[in-house]
Amino acid sequence: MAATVTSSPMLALGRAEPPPISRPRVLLVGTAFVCAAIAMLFAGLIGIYLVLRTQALADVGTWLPADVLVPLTQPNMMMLTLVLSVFTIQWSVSAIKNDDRPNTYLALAVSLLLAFSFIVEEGYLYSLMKWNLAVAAPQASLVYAITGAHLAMIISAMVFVILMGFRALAGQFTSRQHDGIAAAALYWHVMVAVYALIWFVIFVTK
Amino acid sequence: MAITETRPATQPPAVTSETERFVGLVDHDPGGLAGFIGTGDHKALGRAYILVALLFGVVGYALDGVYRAQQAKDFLPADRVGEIYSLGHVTFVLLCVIPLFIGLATYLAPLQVGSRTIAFPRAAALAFWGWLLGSYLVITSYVINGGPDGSRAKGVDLFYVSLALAIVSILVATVCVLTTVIALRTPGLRLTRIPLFAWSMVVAGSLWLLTLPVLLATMLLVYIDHHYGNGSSFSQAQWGQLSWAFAQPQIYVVAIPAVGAISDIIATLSGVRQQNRGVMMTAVAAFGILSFGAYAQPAWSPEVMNQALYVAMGVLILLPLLGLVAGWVTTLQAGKPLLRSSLLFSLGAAVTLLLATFAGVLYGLKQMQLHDAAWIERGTPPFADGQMLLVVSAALLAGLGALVHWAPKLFGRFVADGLAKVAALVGLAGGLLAGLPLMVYGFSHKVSALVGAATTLNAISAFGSLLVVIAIVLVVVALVAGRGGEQPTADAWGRGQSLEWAADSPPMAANFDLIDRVSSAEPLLDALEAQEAH
Repeated sequence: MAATVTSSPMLALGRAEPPPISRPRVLLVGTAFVCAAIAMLFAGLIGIYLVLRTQALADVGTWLPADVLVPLTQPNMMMLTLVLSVFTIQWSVSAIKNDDRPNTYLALAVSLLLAFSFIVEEGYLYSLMKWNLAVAAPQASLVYAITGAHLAMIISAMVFVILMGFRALAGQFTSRQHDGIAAAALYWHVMVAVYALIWFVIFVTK
Repeated sequence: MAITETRPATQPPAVTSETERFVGLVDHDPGGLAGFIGTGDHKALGRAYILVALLFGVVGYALDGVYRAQQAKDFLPADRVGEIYSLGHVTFVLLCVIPLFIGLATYLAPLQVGSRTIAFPRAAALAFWGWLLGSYLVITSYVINGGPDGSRAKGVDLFYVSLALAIVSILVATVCVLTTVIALRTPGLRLTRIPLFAWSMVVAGSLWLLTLPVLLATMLLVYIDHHYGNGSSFSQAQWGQLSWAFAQPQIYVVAIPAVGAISDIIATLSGVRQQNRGVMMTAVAAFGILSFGAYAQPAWSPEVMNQALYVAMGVLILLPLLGLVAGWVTTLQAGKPLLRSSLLFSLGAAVTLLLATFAGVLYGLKQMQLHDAAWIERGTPPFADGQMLLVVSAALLAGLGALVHWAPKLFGRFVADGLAKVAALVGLAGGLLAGLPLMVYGFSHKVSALVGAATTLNAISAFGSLLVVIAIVLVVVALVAGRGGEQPTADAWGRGQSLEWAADSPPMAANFDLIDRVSSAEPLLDALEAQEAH
């Protein structure tokens, strides 16, 4: 009887050596390079913003035109929204590491929902600001370029998460191989870090 | 919810062959034009990059020749002169030299690290087509009177959008190459053991990823201001905001892969291991770090060229290059080098780059007054233009040398070596003649006799550009003339050291059959020596 059990293909599979972890973490490495490039894009934009602001403060004592509005309440809420999403996206990584698939999907969905909320909040912020690019130059060009580029980044992060979510649904990720989710989370964290910088430079210190 | 509670059972794809397993797209290649358009094969993409980049090299040097001829004898409409100048610079860097090395790396990097494919083959294919489309539209934007500071608004907008597409594509291609080298190395091939060309691509790619997005940031600001604003801020003096990417120290980033290619060519043709390999790798990295130029933007910081950091980087970058030259000389002395055309190209590139870097030292020194306000007011200082041409020419010569050296892998044939040697000499003469006269003219504020020599010096520079065009054409002819010649073996030079020389010439679809665990930087030499010992 015992011999019959031992020869069961299922048990044999269970005792077999686990497959090696995919050594070349290709997607994670590639995502890290992309993150570095995007970080430099924002470094360039914010660098120019800071240089021009410093020059303006030194020359005329003021940076923003008198008639433009830069609210802080909405950016604070947006920052909070993204901070929450840091936890939810990391929750998805933690869940997939434990082969907890329902929580993985739930965490990814909540992250997407928070990101969507951020986009709605940003739209509302733009409707409040109503900067005229033709009048408030170069400040308006800078603010819209920086926040607009970040908007593009958050949309790309959402697309990344959705794609990885579909791959997870297709069973491509497990506790031993979850590079896709980890890569999406890395991109997400960098996106939030970039917004933290934008929030501080543009909205807090104005 | 029940659907998601357990991991769905998946049917693993049937692996019918190594080719299908590792290359995927290649195996389903329908052939012909459709096959080429849809290919994710790094070899097809690499070849396409190289050939198109050479075409743009001809365009770039032709434009520069026209611009210099215009400076010698006024014959162009005034509004076209600036456009030709800026298009020439953009073509040199973003349409020719960087894509040439990306093409070489797309082809060679997977072979050098023992990988069966490039990382993200679909992204690599998308990058090539994006770059090609972007490059085509960049030139179109100039044709319709656009470009930076162009007189037609839609042409200006088109320039920024299309150049952004080309740059983003270059960045994607760079990520593919870097990821291949970092994550797809064959077992045993540590990062310290990879060939110097692959290492130089890691350094260069890192620098491109860290600096080209900064150029992209400036372009985004100019585009938004120009398209949506009233053109009162960033839309003014547009080329001045972009020009840092084509000047010292940033211009050196195009030459980083050149030093790697030269190193591999010299070591292979000398038949000995690269001497002081660790020092050479460190020197390549130092050369790359000292070429970081995203901070040196005179448009935002007019005094940057007089700051200690700028001057120090301009001086210090000579040191790693001297270290590399010492390493090349030592390797040549240790072996018995074959005097092939690729060696001539390499030596020519080394001499040209050394001159350019020495010129960079002079340019950084304030006492030389080569970039003082008097020059800046009249546009880009001629000394800077001359130095840029020397760096670009050095990189192009090294790229052509690499093309000739690895032609057995790239095209499955040797080039006609005699013709390629002539091309190397013509290219060296052209590169020097294109750049040196402008640098001489840069001293005209100190030597009054040079003021009257502007016409002659510009004419010589134009002639130099023409010679480089001829050199590029000669290399292509030499490549075509090699058709029907001797069929190269896997180790085409009989002295191969790194893994690409273990693959067929040209390699099969999945590059390799099986690779033993690598235990040094020169696995083929190891095998040869072990064979001789027995």
